[in-house]
Amino acid sequence: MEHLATGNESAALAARLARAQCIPVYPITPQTELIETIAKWVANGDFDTEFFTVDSEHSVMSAAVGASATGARVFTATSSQGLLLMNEVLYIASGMRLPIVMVNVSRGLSAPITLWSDHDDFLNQRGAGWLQVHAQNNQEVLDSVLMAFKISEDRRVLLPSMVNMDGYVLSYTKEPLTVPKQKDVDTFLGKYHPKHAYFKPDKPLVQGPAVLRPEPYTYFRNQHHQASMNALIVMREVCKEFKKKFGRDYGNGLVEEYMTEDADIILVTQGSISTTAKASVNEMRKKKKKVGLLRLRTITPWPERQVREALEGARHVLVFDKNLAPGRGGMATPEIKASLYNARVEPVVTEFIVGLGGNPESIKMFEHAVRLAEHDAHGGVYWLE
Amino acid sequence: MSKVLKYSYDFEKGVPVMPANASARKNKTGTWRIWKPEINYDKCVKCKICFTLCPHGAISWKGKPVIDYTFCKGCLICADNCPVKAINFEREVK
Amino acid sequence: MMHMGGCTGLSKRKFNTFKDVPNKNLIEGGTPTCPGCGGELGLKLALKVMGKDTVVVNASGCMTLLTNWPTTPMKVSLIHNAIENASSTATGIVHALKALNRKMNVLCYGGDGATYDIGFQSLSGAAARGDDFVYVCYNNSCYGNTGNQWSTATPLYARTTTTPIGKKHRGNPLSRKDMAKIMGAHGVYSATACTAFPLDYMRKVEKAKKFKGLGFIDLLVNCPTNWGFEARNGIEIVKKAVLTGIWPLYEVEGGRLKINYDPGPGKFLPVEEFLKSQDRFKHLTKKEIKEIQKAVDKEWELYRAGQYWKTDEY
Repeated sequence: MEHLATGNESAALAARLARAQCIPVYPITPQTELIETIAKWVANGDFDTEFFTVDSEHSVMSAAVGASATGARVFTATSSQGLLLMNEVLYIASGMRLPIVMVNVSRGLSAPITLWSDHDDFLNQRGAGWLQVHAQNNQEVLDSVLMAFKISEDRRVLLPSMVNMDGYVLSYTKEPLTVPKQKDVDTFLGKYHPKHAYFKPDKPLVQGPAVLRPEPYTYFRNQHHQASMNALIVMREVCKEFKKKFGRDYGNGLVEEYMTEDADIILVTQGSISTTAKASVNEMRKKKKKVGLLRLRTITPWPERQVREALEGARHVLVFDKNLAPGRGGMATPEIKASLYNARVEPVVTEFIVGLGGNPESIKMFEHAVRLAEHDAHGGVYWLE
Repeated sequence: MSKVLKYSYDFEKGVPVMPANASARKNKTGTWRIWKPEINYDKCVKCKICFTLCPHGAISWKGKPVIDYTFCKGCLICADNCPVKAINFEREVK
Repeated sequence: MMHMGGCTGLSKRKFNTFKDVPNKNLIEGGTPTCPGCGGELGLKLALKVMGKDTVVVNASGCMTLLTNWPTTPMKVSLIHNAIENASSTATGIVHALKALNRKMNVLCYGGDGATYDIGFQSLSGAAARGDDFVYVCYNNSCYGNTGNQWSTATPLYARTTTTPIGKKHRGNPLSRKDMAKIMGAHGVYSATACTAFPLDYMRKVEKAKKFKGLGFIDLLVNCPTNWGFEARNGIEIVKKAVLTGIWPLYEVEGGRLKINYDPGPGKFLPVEEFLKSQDRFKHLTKKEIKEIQKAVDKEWELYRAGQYWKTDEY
């Protein structure tokens, strides 16, 4: 079924196909269209779900925790400031092992205040214990939300998922969309029948108890970490199954390699700038430059082995950080460098800070970056636009 | 002594959830007592006030109030509020 | 002298006498609370009204430590989220129960710090949204679990560790916030209660449970540890809070305020009866006590003149 849909509409469609049972929301630009779309369907009786607006994003995630702990399938969405406001409850949701799925429409953080896209908001949540996936186009947003429910609800994982899409560039831009059939999604996902977290009249449970003893506390944290590492396996399985059923795949689910097999120079990107970067790679290949691209799709858990294997053959790696941790630099570059620590041959890694506050990237920008890198033997840092 | 921790992933035990089965009954808070309340059943008029007001659920109602000394913390709220002064108390710890 | 079983001004319903108090306890022994803890008493009594198909949503505070891995005294479901979001968590649970077609009651149980201060937003939101659950605030007029810090529920001139007695300042210079009236202004059922009047409290929890929407109860509890008195006197002391007029017992329903207990002008006990028995008021001078008495008298003047609300009694 071919549609033209914005990123917000794609995410809303995915929530509807997945038959999410509880959707607590709070409006924030650039996510508002997502919740408006769902609201219209609910008002018309087209989507049978508990859709309700609460008093802040902190309350959104708190209500999501309550609903998921009761045993319902929960979906929600937010952005920048809202994601930061609910920060405390993100750790609670993942510590309680609740498979909530949230779409984050990435937007730069105050101060100074902006509405345009950059990746600061969700990259600052890497320690919160969620699974994080970054989509490059609207089709991937829809597919990733569907896959997220399956991955999160798997017994080996039982962790909440965040699907990120770039604000405005994807969230408000119409792209062609193939929408899977409802019955195919029903067989792919099934119903959510939790065995670990529920509230039923005849089986009283205490959830989120105090664990004031260090040994069991360490045990539960270790289990949480193992569950997150299990997700590396489960994500690849679910991606394979998705390709079989719906015909679309996204690399191996963890990373996507584009022309990296014989590349001397590899660009590393995530999110919507990847499509522009791929076009730039095509241009540079025409000029006989051996350039390739590695797209990071899974941000947490960190696919260290896949990143290392994709990059170790190259002479030079260019990491494009559309984010900034002041005093430290971009947030992806140190993780790329750490993954290359035990590589056969260590490529030179150059860091590019780009696209902050919605600063647009271009094919020429990536070509300029490659030219700079070719003269940079020691892996410097450049701010580019 | 220091040791390396190795845990295997357990879907059931690894989630911090517990059944609400009053497992706290193994905490014998009766050992906290300094004063021990005792009900004089000759005076007791079975008004149920001590049973209602015991904060720690140490008094159960079996047609008459029965104090469970495994859990009674000796706060003496029961003795203080009995309308007929049917609950005596003595210092248990010298 | 008022018998603790009843108050004038309440209509007859369930829990009229102590014989009506259910025998089953849904929270059992082995708890780590202080001997004589009014908070645990409030939870025990509320659960007798709510019944066994209940989810308790606990806001961080003294009651959070009832359950410490691996033991719990609970016989009903409980969830602990964080200190300020008990009401929002309850909203999520109520909607999920509806989506899953399950019938369970939801009871939020949080302290005055978690309710008056940090949790105010989520509580107000839940009341305005008409979410159907009961919120009982166990009010010991301070942040109790962290050791008696000032909250907006702390009464005038009380000593707390963040409003201590020193050469420059003497205790809490501010009057407390009246939460039950604020919640009443949301159009929901809102009431004050006291552990010294357990039947009145249980009747109010029953009313809050029956009300379609948020039912809010502000329960004054005896706290021997933070107020500074012998545990055995707890119930007598909080009873005095009502009998001196410092803690008015009232209900707000449908925008109308109904006073539950008023012995008449000049018939309240002097406030000193309540204040003198507690360490946290030991430092009060005669002038300060007079000031508190004046404030209480003024408040009751307003109640009797119908100035606070459209009252039923006056």
